[in-house]
Amino acid sequence: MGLFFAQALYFTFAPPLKFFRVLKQIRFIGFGSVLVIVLTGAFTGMVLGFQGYYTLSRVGSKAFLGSMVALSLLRELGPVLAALMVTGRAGSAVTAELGIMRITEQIDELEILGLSPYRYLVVPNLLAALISVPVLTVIFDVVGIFGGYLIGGKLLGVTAGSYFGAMADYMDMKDVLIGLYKSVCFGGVIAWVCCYKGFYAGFGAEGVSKATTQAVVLSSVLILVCDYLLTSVLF
Amino acid sequence: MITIENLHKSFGGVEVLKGASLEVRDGEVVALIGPSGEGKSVFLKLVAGLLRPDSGRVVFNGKDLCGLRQNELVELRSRFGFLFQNGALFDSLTVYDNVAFPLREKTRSSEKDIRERVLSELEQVGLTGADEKFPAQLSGGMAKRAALARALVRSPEIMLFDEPTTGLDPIIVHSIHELIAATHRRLGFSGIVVSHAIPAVFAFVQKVAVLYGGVIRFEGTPKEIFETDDAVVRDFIRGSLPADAFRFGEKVPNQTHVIEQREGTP
Repeated sequence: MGLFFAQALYFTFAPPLKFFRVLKQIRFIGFGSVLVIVLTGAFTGMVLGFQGYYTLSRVGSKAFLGSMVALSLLRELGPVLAALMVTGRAGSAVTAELGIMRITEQIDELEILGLSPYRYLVVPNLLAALISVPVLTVIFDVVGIFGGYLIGGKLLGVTAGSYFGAMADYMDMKDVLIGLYKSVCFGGVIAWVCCYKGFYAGFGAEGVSKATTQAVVLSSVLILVCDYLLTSVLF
Repeated sequence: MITIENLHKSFGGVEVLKGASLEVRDGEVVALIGPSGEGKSVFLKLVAGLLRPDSGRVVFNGKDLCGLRQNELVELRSRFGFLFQNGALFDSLTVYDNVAFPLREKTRSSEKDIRERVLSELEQVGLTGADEKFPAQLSGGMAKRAALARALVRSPEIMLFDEPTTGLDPIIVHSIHELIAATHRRLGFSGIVVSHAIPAVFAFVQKVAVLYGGVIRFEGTPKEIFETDDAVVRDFIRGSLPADAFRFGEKVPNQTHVIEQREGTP
């Protein structure tokens, strides 16, 4: 897997870049995931609104609801949940597509044509994931913050000034950047694992099925492991 | 000329090839036959450099493909054409785009020239009017023809055919064989055809090789294979042919008649 990633990196920086394939994959991985990200972001924010209000009201700190929701989303839940959603929606599809290309010898055909499968298949997915996942994370965070306000502000009576004011008071740029660093790493993990599993899928439909399952499981676990490591380092 | 020397290849401890050797002269097409599971497709992929042998050499124009670095291999491989068993058409592209793909990616031809070349190649394989179809909309025979057009569009020096007629009805089998023979006459490539279409495949090849037990057990002309004393080869051919086919030159089948004619031609 290490060699695979190294080759993918090499072809990322060795021209020519297949620009239109990158755009196509950004459309698939990024644009295609917006709806699921908006939905999960909204509901995550709404749940945080309820739980945060309940917890903070017990210690008499309801005014900090905005900062609690925002910090939870920006530093932790936004990057992790967005990456897990992208893994399930787009990563699995990438693995299945590459797996089918492997078993139907389309990847071999690229090699016979004297073209690098890394350049045509892996690099576009890697770049698309590196670009899309941070953008989707930002969407997740913003929608989640408004979801939290919908519950905390509109339903439970926390004022907009208190909610958003606390956010501004207790957040800084470092919190935003930590989330973005994480999301870039998670994007790389998703592309790396899902492309690798598809690229080396076993024989037949069962091989593709196993590769897809392994890709989703391994990506998800690695995202959580990386999240722990990055949190430890960037804390 | 391609010289394949003493190829060994194992998968998971099972030795598939145990020292297979073969020589393909310039302009010569060799039929590689043998029982299923003997490693004919593996042999072909080793020749194309898609797999690396455990030991042995594949020498093309004085260069050992097995010893080349990846980028050298990629360049050399672009002189090869490979017709995969299932066509291996890119299913997200139309037939036209599939055939145009190698030209767009590996040449600096204008789109107008590419269009002319692609339409001409599609006409040669009898797919005029099918250029806007996607692979999923093609029959097995049409997919093979489209894949053949893509393989031939850059006029390869070496053509490798992996069971080009498997799963097709006898009429389509005949037409694919005719097509391969016609393109061979037109382009003069050297090639290896892995096939189970015995004896039909003998009609357009210059040499037959039998892969059995991990080695090339027999190598000779289509006429010689019918006269071999090797019991294994005879049994294999016997299983593939009607009994009267062994009376070579005496009567039927049609394909042996064709061989006889060709063998008499200088």
